[in-house]
Amino acid sequence: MKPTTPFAGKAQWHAQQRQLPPREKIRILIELQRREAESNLIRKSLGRPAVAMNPWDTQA
Amino acid sequence: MGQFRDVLLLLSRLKTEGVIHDYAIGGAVAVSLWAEPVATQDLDVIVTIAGDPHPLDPLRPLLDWFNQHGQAFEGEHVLIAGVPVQFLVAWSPLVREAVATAAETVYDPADPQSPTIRLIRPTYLVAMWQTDQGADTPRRRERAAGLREAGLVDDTLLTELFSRTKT
Repeated sequence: MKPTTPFAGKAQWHAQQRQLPPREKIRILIELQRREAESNLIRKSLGRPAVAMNPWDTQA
Repeated sequence: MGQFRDVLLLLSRLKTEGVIHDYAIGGAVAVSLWAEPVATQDLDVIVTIAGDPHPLDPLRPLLDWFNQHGQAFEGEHVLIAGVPVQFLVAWSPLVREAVATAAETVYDPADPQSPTIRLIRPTYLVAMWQTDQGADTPRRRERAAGLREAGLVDDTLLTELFSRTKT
């Protein structure tokens, strides 16, 4: 399979993400904050440095 | 729990009541809304202040307004509807122009009552990052590359902004 095929799929996915309305993007941003905070717990448990991240206490 | 739209409504109110002359969202949230969402800690709001603010304390009218209205502070942030908001006074002619020319769009097109949101345009974001000492960090270069990859940067305007800023 040519490598351009999966990359074309990725490019299409990114293009779709860019077209989302602002409210949906804020919803995703808040979800990413929560996942980052969860990842921080794992990083800390492994003795690795964590990234400063406190999820917003708000809804999109 | 608050709602993000309440932040936008309050920003609009600040403008309507004349506490600020204008505002625009910058930083990673602006990048998220122009391109793709990224996790970020705070919301950067760049403002121009009405009247003749004191050069050593330009945010004072805004901070006084927040104090009068019982708004909570958290370190360098004002906590609005659960969102830590960092207010920055437009610090250069380029940034003032970026605020003045910000794009205003509907936050939630599915809601007829939706507030609008003012975003610094991508070309101005890139220009601000590349011309301000200290702002040209690896993370911002990555975000600038993302905006460019998405076809959101106007190179003709960027060149003009650079030439104007350097004179």
